Amino acid sequence: MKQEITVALAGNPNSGKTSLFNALTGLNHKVSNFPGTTVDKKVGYCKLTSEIKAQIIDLPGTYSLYPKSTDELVTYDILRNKAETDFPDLVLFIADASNLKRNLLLLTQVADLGVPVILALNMVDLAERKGIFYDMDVLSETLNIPVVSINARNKKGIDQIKKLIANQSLHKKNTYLSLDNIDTKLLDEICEITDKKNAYAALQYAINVSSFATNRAKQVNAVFEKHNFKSKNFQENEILKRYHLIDEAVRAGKKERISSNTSRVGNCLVFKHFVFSVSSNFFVERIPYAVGRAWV
Amino acid sequence: MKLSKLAYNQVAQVKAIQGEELSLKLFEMGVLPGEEVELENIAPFGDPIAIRVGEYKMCLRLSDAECVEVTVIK
Repeated sequence: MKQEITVALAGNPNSGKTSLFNALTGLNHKVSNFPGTTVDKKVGYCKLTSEIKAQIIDLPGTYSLYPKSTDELVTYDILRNKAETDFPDLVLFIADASNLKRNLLLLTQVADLGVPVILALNMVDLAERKGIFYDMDVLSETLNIPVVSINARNKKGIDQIKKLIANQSLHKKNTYLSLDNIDTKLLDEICEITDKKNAYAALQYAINVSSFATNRAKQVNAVFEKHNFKSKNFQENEILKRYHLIDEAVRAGKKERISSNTSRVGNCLVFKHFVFSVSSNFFVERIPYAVGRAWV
Repeated sequence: MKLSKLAYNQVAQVKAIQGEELSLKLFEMGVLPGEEVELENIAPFGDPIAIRVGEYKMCLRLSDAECVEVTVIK
């Protein structure tokens, strides 16, 4: 068994990657409540068992594997290249449970690159406040990956994550997007040019380099043209297909809770009204008092 | 109708997005044909705007919103 596992933290911006990174490594990197806080990769270590250590890489958040900015490029560069020393043995994917669909788009893309993925569902409390409840077992089954509910800030579920990372028998590779509708000759040629075995990884990489002015880009564009392959159409189709898969998985994973909205005190309309009127009375009463004090 | 012309709290369904780059970006963000959107906030001076897309809120420039064709539901 390998003694050190490299784990990359990936996910959408502002989903709690750095919070989880801090919880796992005991480090104290800057966390904030807006997207784009982490713009470069950060590395830390975490002891899983007496024998196994994990190298944790915190990556900048991105919405997809077609990078549009330099911080997104950092994430893409590490995940795309298996020869890279930082290429992870496992991706720990953090998703915001209150906005699961958009988050899972990237998860399915990352998994299709041929890396085992574990899903850590963060901000479950926020989702529950919105009246959305998920069954982790069903999600795990429909997505075919291990799923853990965590709270990165309160460090809930961290031990479970550590156990999952250490137990390599549970890590499995998965494919979501089928490339059946793509010409196999095109895929073979692209795999050869890009020197990759995984067809999706090769095609995805080819599309990303095709806009550059390099020799490889020329080769790629020639192959695309030969087979009349339109990369933008492929990308559009890819996203629609992925969302279709995700829709089904998320719908299956949702738990029904009867009157979950009204039974919660925080969401009760009467209660909100009460709090509002009390607090507004409080301020109205305090203003003359404060003004009076200032005059005295 | 264009997304940029939506009134406060008006709910609409996305029909199509113009522009290759923009449509890909918005697709990735979950603004898909058939998805429900609602205008929730308008910044001072009218730009940018915040819309609800499915389960979350997203901000976009008015110039980008102009490229999104929608049909009003309510």
